[in-house]
Amino acid sequence: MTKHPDAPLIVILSLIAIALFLTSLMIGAADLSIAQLIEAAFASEKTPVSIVFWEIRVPRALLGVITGATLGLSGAVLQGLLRNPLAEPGLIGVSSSASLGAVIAIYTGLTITMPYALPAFALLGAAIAAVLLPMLAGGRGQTLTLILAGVAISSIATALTSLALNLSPNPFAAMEIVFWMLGSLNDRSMQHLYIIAPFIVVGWALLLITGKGLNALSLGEETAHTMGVSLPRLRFCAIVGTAASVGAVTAVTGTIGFIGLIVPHLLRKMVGGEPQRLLIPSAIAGACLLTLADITVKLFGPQSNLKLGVLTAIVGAPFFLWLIIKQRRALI
Amino acid sequence: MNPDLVIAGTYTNQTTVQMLRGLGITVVQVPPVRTIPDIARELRRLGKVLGQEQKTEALASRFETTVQRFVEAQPDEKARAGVYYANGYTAGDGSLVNELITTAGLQNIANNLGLKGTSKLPLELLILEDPQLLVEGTQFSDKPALAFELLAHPALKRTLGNSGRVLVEDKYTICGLPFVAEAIEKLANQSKRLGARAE
Repeated sequence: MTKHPDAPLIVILSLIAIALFLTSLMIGAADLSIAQLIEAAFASEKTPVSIVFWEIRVPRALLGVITGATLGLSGAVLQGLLRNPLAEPGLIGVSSSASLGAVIAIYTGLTITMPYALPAFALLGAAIAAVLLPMLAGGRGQTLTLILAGVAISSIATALTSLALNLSPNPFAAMEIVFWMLGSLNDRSMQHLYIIAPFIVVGWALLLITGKGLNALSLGEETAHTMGVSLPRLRFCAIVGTAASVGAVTAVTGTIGFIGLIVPHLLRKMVGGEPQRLLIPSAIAGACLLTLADITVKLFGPQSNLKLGVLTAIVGAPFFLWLIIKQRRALI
Repeated sequence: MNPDLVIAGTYTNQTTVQMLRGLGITVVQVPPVRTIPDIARELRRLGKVLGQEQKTEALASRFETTVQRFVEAQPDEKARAGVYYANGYTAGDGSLVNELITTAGLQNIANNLGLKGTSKLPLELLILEDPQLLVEGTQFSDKPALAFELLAHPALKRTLGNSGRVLVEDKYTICGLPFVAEAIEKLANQSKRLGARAE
């Protein structure tokens, strides 16, 4: 085995992720001891505890890991592609557009007959945002126009989501605006995971093969071109990969922001600033951060009804402000 | 319209009630009915007010006999039933649906958990109570909402199997009238079925 320069970092992050995953399994609305859970996990017949473990806790913990990894990875890829440290699926409107797609698929009743319409519509929403963004923001990766374009896309998608939910004849739909804007892993099931799995696999694969191209792109478009990197192909992989994976997770968790912003920044110095080396650590660290946030939500208790996105925003928004201030200093 | 009598709820605006009484109109206030004995009692009271005591007495006593029949038919070993509404709400002691369930010879798991009235019940806690029967309410719309997705959660499906659900329409759980006997009968049939399977 060749020695990877980031092997220690990846191993440490993975160990933290596993520890957080196991911790997440132990926490829930019901007070169950570790012994009870272990016994139920390996029980041959179904008991109430084994159903709680396999049908409620495992899907939630898995979804946390998958969602966090997707957001971390896509954040790292988008920051490399747009050559902008503030790019992130939440901030540039990809997540809220994915939400809009999912909302249309669910509340029109389409998903009842075609379950795969859910991730497909979310992918479509996310892809539209990802294609529109560079067109609106213009090339050269200017920070200000990128953020403005992202805010505009987010606002439109959020407004249309609210509109769609308010127009639904179901009286509960309007209350669910909160879920789509702030996100939650509450009471999701294995079925959700099965439906999004193919989209996640394809999305991750596309995102992971952008590494080399992103490295070349960091030296400038022309240099990348002379190095034999096909920019249209690189853009295609990054945008479709983001749309597929972020679309899929958003379709079942709602919009969860800031994970994709924070994680690549925390790791960039550790991997020497190379976009390719940032990808895998960002995915694992994203999984850690999101699982940690969900554990905190669970510790608040089921009666609090706290949404996951509230927590990530409380941590993420100040970080975002700090980044803006840092960027401004660099400009002056 | 100059009415002789106005029947109002106990939650009707008190100013309106006072004003009507000030005008010399008889106002009878009827509380929301939350127990089975209340149904017969309120019926008799209204009969007295309306001068239709014979009719309401007949209705009330027929209802009481029906209820008595259900109470006598209750099994010793009571099957576990849980109420589960949209967004994970359940109903326990102090709700009409709880009265229907217990009269039908089932035990309401909300009471085992100490939940009173309508309160939130996390899915995990519901599953751990191992319900044999899930009492559901009317879905207000055929258009989907996430609020109802919870009722299709695989954890519930695995706990209840294919036949462990019963619909008790909202009209039975909101309006406390003698026709709730229909809902009790529906529940009692489930109770009988579950009891027969246990033996």
